[in-house]
Parts: sequence; C-alpha cells; structure tokens
Amino acid sequence: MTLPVGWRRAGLMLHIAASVGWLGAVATSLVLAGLAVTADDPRLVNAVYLLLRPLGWYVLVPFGIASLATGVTQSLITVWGLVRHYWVVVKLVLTAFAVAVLLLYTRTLDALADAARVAADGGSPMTATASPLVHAAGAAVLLLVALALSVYKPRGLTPAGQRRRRSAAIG
Amino acid sequence: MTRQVPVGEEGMPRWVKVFLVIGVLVLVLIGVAVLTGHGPGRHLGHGPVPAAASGERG
Repeated sequence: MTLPVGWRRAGLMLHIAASVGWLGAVATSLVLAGLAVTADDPRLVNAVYLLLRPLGWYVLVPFGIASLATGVTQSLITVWGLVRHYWVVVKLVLTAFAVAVLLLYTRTLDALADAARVAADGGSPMTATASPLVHAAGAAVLLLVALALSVYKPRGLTPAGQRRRRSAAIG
Repeated sequence: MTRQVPVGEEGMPRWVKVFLVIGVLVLVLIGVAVLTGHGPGRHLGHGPVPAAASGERG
C-alpha cells in the first residue's frame, strides 16, 4: 500500500526525527558511561548512574520504539515494502534487536541507579562498570550501520521481492 | 510474456551473507557471555547493595 507523497514525506520526517533522537541519546550515554569508567571521584560515578536511568527510560526507550515503529510504517507505505529488499529486512532485524536489548538493559540501568542511590546515602562506594559503555558503544555501531543501510540502500531482492517483481512484470 | 529478471537479482547478495556471518558471530559471543556469567542480569544484586556496587569492573 503506497500512500501519496505528502504522507510518505511526513512519515519519513518522523522516522528521521526518532532515529536521530535515538542516535543522539546513545551518543550521550556513551559519553556519560565513558566518564564514569574514567572518573576518579565516586560521586561522579554515582551521578552518572543516577542520570542513565532517566536517560534510558525517558529518551532511549521512547525514541528507540518510535524509530522501530516509524521505520516499519515507512516501509509499508512506500514502494520498498517490509520484506522485498534485503537492506530493509537487515535494518529491521538490527533495529528490533537493538530495541529488545535496550528494553532488557533497562533492568540493569535500574539496578545501577539503585546502587548509586544507596552509595549516595552513605552505603558502599560505587565502582564504575564497563557494561554501560560496552552497550552504548554496541548500540552506536549498530545504529550507524542501520543509517548506512538507509543511505546506500544496497541492491538485492528477497525471494518475496523477486516474486512480486515477476508477477508485476507478467501483469 | 517473458520474464525479465535483472542479472544479479537472483540469489542472496554477498553483503547479506557477510551480515549473516557477522550476526551469527555476535550471537555466539552473546551466548558465550551469558554462559560465562557476563550476560543480562549480571548487575542485579540480591542484597541491599546490588552487585554493581561491589567493585566489579568490565
């Protein structure tokens, strides 16, 4: 189902906005997580882990889900389709995987924030972990690959796309 | 009516195969990480202070 160009442009605008927001939030997480790992002051580590929780829940998760939803919508309302071209399928798999890992990782962000709160209230001092840095770096690489797929759109029709093309050629 | 399939459209492109290999390797790495105790939930402690506060690194 291909919608008129006005709707497609609106959908593309939403998809780009959500994806850019997601990538920006991932970059922010990367910087914060790196700051925690390299910090000497435990209070700075606490502050970072307290910040990562709202960043995850209120920025990363909404933008990630919005990016996935608008991407799927965009593929369905344009000529690209959801399963006709390999680049769309690969990008969908990458994005869905990233959102799934992100949703799972919110548990870790919650635990880190709770530990930071305990430490800030006089508990055992918090020591930085490389886990948020590794996850943010992985997310950044994954989103950049997805971005490259969107821009370069490498050739290749899936079997479903080939069947559709043949039936269209036959008329 | 003849079928007109462009050359190179049949079969899986090489770049997709490369992505598949990398994806499988990443999944294997994740599996190994989970089996060796570096997977999801690793930072969830059961005491008053979660494991992340106990001094682990990496």
